[in-house]
Amino acid sequence: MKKMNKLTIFLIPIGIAVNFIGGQIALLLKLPLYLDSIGTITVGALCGGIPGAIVGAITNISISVTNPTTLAYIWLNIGFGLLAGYLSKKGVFKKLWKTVIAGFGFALIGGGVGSMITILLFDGLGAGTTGMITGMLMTIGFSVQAGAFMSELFADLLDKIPTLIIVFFILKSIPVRTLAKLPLGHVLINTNKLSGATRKEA
Amino acid sequence: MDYQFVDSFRKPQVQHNWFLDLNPLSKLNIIIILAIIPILSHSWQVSVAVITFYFVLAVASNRLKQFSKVYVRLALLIGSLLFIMRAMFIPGEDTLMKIGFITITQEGVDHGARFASLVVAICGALVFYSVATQARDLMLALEKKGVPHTATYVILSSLQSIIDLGRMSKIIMESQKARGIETEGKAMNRIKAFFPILGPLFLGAISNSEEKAIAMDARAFYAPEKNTHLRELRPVPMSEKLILVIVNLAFIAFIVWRVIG
Repeated sequence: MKKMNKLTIFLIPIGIAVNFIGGQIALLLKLPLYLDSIGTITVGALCGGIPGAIVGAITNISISVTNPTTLAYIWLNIGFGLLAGYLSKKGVFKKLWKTVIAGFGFALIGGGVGSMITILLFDGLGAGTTGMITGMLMTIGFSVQAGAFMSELFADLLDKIPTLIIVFFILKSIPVRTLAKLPLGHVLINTNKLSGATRKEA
Repeated sequence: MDYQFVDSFRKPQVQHNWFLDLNPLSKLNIIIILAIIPILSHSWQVSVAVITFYFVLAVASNRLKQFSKVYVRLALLIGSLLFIMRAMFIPGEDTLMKIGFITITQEGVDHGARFASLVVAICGALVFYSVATQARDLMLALEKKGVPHTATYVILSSLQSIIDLGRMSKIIMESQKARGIETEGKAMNRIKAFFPILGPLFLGAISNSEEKAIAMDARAFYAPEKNTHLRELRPVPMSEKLILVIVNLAFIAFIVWRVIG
């Protein structure tokens, strides 16, 4: 952790807290979404994959105190952080349509890895609404694997696309002077706009 | 300031309870063993025994109220969900009941009972540890073992940030409501209300963290020297070390017995 950017160390706790609060606000507003990985993806996009993964890992460990089954899904949040860092380096978060498409990538991690964990640890029947759907699909005639994968991929797609849209607008609203201090900020700064502004001033 | 409060920092702050005053890492060791036993034994009787043992420990360490407040609700919720799901959907030969398209079988019920009690027992380990240990004590113990202070800072700071930002989010929500943003009613309205609550919260926190970084830098947060602590941990007494050795040896013997038997 020695080589980590100084601001990153202080952004990790914020990311963890936002993961929590995002989920709570979604509950308060009675939204049918989790919205509990906004912090992970934002920190991943701003500071790189490793800090994003740290945010995800600590978030799941702390939630596990009140809902221990989340501990099993720690790999998901780590994956989201790493993927966010990678995509950010590629400049995906500069355009809204690219960000929305990236939602499928996140949903694939969420649905694919998530259903794998559910199958390995909970035999495909997790404690939650997705487990309910899986059970229904099983009675219709799907196998456990297919049922779990389908229900979790669908639930994740429904959750990750709004999450990424929120992340996109948050990244867009961060002032340039803050971005300049962050490891991946240089990717997100819109250089055209910047040089345009200085030209206008001159 | 209260003289007694100041004076309490002169020696290790203990809670005068044999279990709570154990070193956080010793507690962790015992709890991990308690969590692994039901995984290895594969029977709901063992899981129930371990769950009962958590309650006994909670009584012994004077934490029954805090522990049961969180745990009973959680155990009932997760346990019943996992059990019902398995009882309903796992196919088997021995049919007990038929409700519509759902068939409840003996195999499903057995498997459900075993699995639900196992998960609830593991949950107990986590909940009990969080009730019996203060995060700052655990971090101090980890730091003494060589974990960098930036890492422990991140964890303690995130616990604090959750509380701070939670309070902040309520304030922002109230003020946005006062400005006429609808937080109830149609689904679209509620989705639209999410942005003006989370946006200011997150952006404010980011700009705050910038100031915090400068302030902490001025207080030599990044200094390579070993840092000092306001609080001290109780030195581990001989009896505690002895108990740990016995518990760990018993655990290893248990594993060997399971593998051979």
